[in-house]
Amino acid sequence: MMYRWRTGALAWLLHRVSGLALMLYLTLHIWVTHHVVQGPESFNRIMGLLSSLPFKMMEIALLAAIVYHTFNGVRILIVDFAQGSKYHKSLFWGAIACSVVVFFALGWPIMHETLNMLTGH
Amino acid sequence: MFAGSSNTGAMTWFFQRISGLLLVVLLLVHFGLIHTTEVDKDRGQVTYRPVAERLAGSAWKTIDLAFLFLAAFHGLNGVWMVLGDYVHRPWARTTLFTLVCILGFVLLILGSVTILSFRPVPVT
Repeated sequence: MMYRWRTGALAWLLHRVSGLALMLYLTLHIWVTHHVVQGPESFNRIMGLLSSLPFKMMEIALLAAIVYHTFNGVRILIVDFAQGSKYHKSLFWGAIACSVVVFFALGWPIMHETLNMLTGH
Repeated sequence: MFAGSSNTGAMTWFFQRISGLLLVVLLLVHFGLIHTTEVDKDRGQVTYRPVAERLAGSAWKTIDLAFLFLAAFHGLNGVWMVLGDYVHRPWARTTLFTLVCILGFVLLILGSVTILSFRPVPVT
């Protein structure tokens, strides 16, 4: 198979990679959430572990994957159901722009926390 | 070459989009609620009490169950679409499809048990 590296192929590849990462997260998330059944100590202990530095950093990557997958998903819906194929390129760059803005807007608190942890504040 | 089914996948294609759309809404609520009301700012983590209060009600149990089933379907159908693009031998496809189904089964059982069997413990 030959790929022509235009925006469509890039959108498609990023959607797959982020989707697979999100499925890995969902699996872990369902297992982690199960601790709530075992009571407050068990749940608070695992949530405490998840608020440590390595997990904070992974959470930033998680946010990036979610935000991209969501906006590109909306782009796919527009292409499939609202004649969006007429505006392929602008829709793609629109999805990227929305992703970047929302990623920094929602991610700022956790990036700030991570920076503080890294610099020992 | 795989050529063994009369199932065109049109329904799956359609439901992948419908579930995706619903997941956007559910995820917004899930994310918004947890990060505004269920994170203890001093400890910098999600804590038991607010989660337990929410998960005690049957309305939230219903919403979370729907969320679980939609996310598991959307995610595993996506994984299967990716695998299906690269694996073509029928026996390998059958094996992988079975594994994806098993993972789905495990996730749905574990998630449903979490949601349905949950009884809040008072926090002192």
